[in-house]
Amino acid sequence: MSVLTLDFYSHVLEMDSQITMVLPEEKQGVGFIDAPKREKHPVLYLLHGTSGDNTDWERWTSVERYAATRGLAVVMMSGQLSSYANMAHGQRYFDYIAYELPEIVKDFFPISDKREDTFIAGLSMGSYGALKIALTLPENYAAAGALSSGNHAMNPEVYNEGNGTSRRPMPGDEKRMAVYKSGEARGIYGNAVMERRWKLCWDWSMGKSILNTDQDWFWLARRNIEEGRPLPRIFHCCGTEDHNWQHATEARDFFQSLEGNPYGYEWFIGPGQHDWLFWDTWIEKFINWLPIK
Amino acid sequence: MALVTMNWFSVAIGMNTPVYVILPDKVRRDGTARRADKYPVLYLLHGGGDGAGKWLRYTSIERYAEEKGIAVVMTTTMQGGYTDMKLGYPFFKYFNEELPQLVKANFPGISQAPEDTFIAGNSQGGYGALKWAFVQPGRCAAVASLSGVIDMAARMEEEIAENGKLTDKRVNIWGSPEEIRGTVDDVPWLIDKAIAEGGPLPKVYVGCGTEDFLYEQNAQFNARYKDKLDLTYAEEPGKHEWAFWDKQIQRVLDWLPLAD
Repeated sequence: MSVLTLDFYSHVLEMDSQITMVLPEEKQGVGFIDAPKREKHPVLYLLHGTSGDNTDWERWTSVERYAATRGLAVVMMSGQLSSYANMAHGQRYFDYIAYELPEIVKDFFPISDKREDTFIAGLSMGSYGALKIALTLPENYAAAGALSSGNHAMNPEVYNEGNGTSRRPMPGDEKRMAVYKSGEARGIYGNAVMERRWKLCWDWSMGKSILNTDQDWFWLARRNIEEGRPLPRIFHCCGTEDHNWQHATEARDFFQSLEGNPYGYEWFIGPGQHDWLFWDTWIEKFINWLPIK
Repeated sequence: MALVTMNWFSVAIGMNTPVYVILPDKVRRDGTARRADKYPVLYLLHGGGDGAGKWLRYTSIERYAEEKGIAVVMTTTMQGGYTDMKLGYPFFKYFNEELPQLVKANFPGISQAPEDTFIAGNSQGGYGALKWAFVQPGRCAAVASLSGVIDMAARMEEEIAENGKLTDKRVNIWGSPEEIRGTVDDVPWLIDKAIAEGGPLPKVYVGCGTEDFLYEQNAQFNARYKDKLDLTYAEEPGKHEWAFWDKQIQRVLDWLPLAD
């Protein structure tokens, strides 16, 4: 494939921005089979996790090689630490990826504008973002992939006991609640970073819930069904040794509870932790699973 | 403008090859919209020993292109002199046959029309630009050579006279002056042939500094062709250097027959 970096001005982010893309080539070098020949290519928008940027996937996995075999263009962007939200205190990363990037990419490059050719996926924070975007705009994506995470809108619920939420216990909960109840300075157990993120992304403060908002996978998923919208297929996986296991299986249980499996939801597990070895393995499986015409 | 830094596989060269493409934004920074969905393109060729990124780094080409709303494609001939090398790789095939196809396949917004297509280059890139434009005279509307090695055979004869022999680089690309004359590697021959055939010809811009070691060649070109081509000849104080080319490329952009 050809690989490129696009440096451009984002009107939504109000700053210069960079994306990494790989595009199918009719002829490739030694060691490749020739890609399917198309004038306009199917496209996967691929989101990074916490700490990452537009270069992560290209550097730490062989995603380009996997995409080459299917003639799939891949767009990799930066979401910084935004939880892929229009941040309450920060930039509008949701709009950037959901609205602005597809327009720019289709304008400059030979990318299909059909829903059946458009997919989105991510790892960890990126998996939350990918599904959030796909569930917000189900008319735009034929399929979505979530690697190694769950519904981030559930995360602040550790502080919202008694709100009637059905959030399941997660590693570190006891310590978090003990600190909260004791009134001691938060952050001793490393919560300050997450709390700052929730504040910047969602203007979260103690006791506030973002469930049943457009940040909540479950709310979005139910809304789409109620409103009769077209529904993207969902691929969801997690490593059996991943610290996000409870978080991921909580989401699994939700999707598997939907009658008739309207999203064509598929759950996969494999040995592995929250790391690039797992994501390199599973992005290949995801790309091979994609219903590319 | 947006900048694409890209690396694609060239069948002609047989290797991955870098290319930079400047593209006009659909909506500019100031909020105004791009003029058209298909935009004109300038292929900008670097000199000997330079790379695909040289024009980007040593001039303000992106800023100048923005004023004109023109796309710019900058790729490389590596050590190949825009020529199907005698001992090397077929770089002219890359430019003449493959590059337009790659641009068409990857950049749907770049116009394919000859009236929207322009070629320019500095030094060896001036040679490459004229060669590329005149081997198929109807392919572009305008071509510019800045301090170009317009007559490569003559230049090589000078080098033999000065040094006793040619460098390996020269030999690997062209072999000898005799092997250039009367072939596609011979720019004056290509131009004379195109004129004789009577078909459409591009506008030509030739710019050179008066302190440039190639000044004589360029002045002679003007004398020879000023009545036979739509030729704009620009000489001014200047040497074979980037400060000169940064200034000259602005004049070239003003001179290009761009639709308003």
